[in-house]
Amino acid sequence: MAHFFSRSLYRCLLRLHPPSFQREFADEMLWIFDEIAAKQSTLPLFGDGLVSLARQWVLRGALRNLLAGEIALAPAAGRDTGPLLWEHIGVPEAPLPVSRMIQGSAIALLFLAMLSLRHFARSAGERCRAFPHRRRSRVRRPDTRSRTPEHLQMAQHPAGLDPLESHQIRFQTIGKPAAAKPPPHKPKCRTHRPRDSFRRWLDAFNSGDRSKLLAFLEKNYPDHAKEIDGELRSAA
Amino acid sequence: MTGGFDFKKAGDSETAKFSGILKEHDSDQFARFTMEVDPPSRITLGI
Repeated sequence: MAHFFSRSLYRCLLRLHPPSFQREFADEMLWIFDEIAAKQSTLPLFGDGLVSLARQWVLRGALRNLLAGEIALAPAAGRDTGPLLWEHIGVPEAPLPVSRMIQGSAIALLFLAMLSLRHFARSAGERCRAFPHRRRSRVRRPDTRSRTPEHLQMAQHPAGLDPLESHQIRFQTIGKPAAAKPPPHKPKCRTHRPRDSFRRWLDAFNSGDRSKLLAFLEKNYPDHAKEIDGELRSAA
Repeated sequence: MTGGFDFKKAGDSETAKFSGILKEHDSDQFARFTMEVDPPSRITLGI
């Protein structure tokens, strides 16, 4: 009975949260409540819920006021307009709204990013000009310098073959074709089901075995392999 | 710090994504996780 009552109370507490928060977290919070209630007191959860409630409404309310502030601070057109020109060009005394500051910062960042990209593209182009051999095809062409004209003729147009076909064949018969670039190696593990992959990570993480976790990360998430020490510290 | 995690509940499970809830061994903290993997390669069978 007490559990039913406290659960209903907690559910009411969750329903007082903003709708978007409820959609995202309410079910999970209620599930966690049931888990905790089966073993121990749920008072800390009520405290946590109250703090969360205050935080959500204060933060979201403040954000809403921030966005609405711009509209409220903007002078209404046509109001208090006198016959003199300076009355039309009045500078508002209110400070610049924060949303405008954010907008300006975003535009400045975008501008800087474009400049950086342009600089990067230019330096990449200069690198290509400095090392033109990198842009050459890797197909080895036949060495025709030491051949007689007859050989060259045969090589260019073998009897009975279309010149276009002979062009293709010449590279196969005279010139040594470039070795085909092998496809990039993809670990088999990466194509497994995510549930299996997660189970392997959890096993490695809970074991606290650095080599095991490192092997998993290097195989599946190479970018995260650098942060293995942080992960192991949290697993300790 | 956490003592490891216990898997508690499965959430969304898709072809390349799996999420759920974990609980810390050493405390009553719960955490939501999402595991993403590369989509599985297509397998073609010919007879």
